[in-house]
Amino acid sequence: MSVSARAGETMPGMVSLRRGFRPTVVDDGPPTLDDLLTLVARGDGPAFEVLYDEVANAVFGVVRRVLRDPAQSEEVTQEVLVEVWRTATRFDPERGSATTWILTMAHRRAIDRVRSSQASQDRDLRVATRDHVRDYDQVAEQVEARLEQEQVRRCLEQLTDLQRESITLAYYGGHTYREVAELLDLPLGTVKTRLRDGLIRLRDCLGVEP
Amino acid sequence: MSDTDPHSLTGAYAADALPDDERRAFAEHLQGCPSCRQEVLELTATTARLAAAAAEPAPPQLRSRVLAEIHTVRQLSPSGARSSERDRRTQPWFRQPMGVAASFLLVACLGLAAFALSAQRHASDAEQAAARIAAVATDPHRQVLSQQVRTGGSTIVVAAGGNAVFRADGLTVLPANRSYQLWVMDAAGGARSVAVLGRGTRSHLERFIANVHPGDAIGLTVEPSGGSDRPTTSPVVQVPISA
Ligand SMILES: [Zn+2]
Repeated sequence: MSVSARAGETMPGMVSLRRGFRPTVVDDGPPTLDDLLTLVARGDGPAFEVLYDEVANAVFGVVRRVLRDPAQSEEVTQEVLVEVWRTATRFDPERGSATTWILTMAHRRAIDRVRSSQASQDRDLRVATRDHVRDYDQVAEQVEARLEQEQVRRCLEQLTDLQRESITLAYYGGHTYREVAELLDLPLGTVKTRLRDGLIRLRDCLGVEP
Repeated sequence: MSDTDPHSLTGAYAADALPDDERRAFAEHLQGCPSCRQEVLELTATTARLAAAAAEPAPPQLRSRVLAEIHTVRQLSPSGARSSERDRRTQPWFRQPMGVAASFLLVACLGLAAFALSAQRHASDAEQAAARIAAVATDPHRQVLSQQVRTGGSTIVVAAGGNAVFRADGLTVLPANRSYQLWVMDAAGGARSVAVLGRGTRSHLERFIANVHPGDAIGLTVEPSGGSDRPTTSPVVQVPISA
């Protein structure tokens, strides 16, 4: 039973619960983010702190990737995390994991901010293209150190150039598919299709299950 | 300009790349189209991975600001208009009535786990483990080996300097009496257990593995839930480490 104690070493954040507690709900040891969110929905402050530590960097990272501006990104990150607290009771595990729920909310908020700000309407699309191409390289570089990121980078590399550019411009760049079509000088239908088949390929490569 | 097949918009929707009017229209389409709903679930889980890959350190001062703010923010009640419309069967389990004892046990159990996790974060052995993993993951001579799991999911193994890090994503959840077990398998047919990894209910697993040498393979098998002394089934994934 204690095979795990013998050789492997746990990742930070992987805690073995005492055995007496295991058969209940947390059969795999440490609480998942879903478990934490369940506690948060009951008003558990300490659980929220743990959850904050688990997700804050990802929330901030994706918001900043879209918004660029650090001060605005910090503001939106705060909004998102408070919203997680406020609406935790409405989280529905049947519609995906807690991580997905939180990061989807974060990306959506960043996009709302982009679309509502006057600045975005004046954005020079040409400049944006150059920026985002560089952006992708940056993502590719920064991610080297972490496994999660390494996996995503490798899977992005396996896409066709059009799939990767469409996804990167839309998701990290915060552009609509119409803007992406303009940026890449492609028909709308092509961009729609590349976004879909690119994400499907990414899903399969990452072994994503909803 | 607009056209064609509404089903083709799942990708643009999951990437938040639809203009607001089209987003609303597609959300309506989703109500009546289960196959698009399923695809959107999957592609949204995929874009969330893109989000996670963009992680960077949040400003340290943000933590205390957020924690201070939540004390002033009232949480929504679980029985909002939306969930009362819903068929009770589709409600998440934690909103369904549960025996008082069971619910108390659940909270106690999760609370303990949260506390343990919180305490662990600051422990120095956790830092050491993180440092060992980082050393492997950033080694300029590292091998990165990626492979699909036969029964669903994917793995990545990074090996460097006689150590390795194993990561599995999206493993199929096993029945209650089964568990994944991780092994280092040598060329002579021997297998050393690294860890029993549970049923695969977590979205991903990571393990540091010491003493991995060229010619070894990292293997994952399905075993009875306590784990086995040696593999009793053939590996669902086996990643050979080359020289
Ligand atoms: Zn459809």
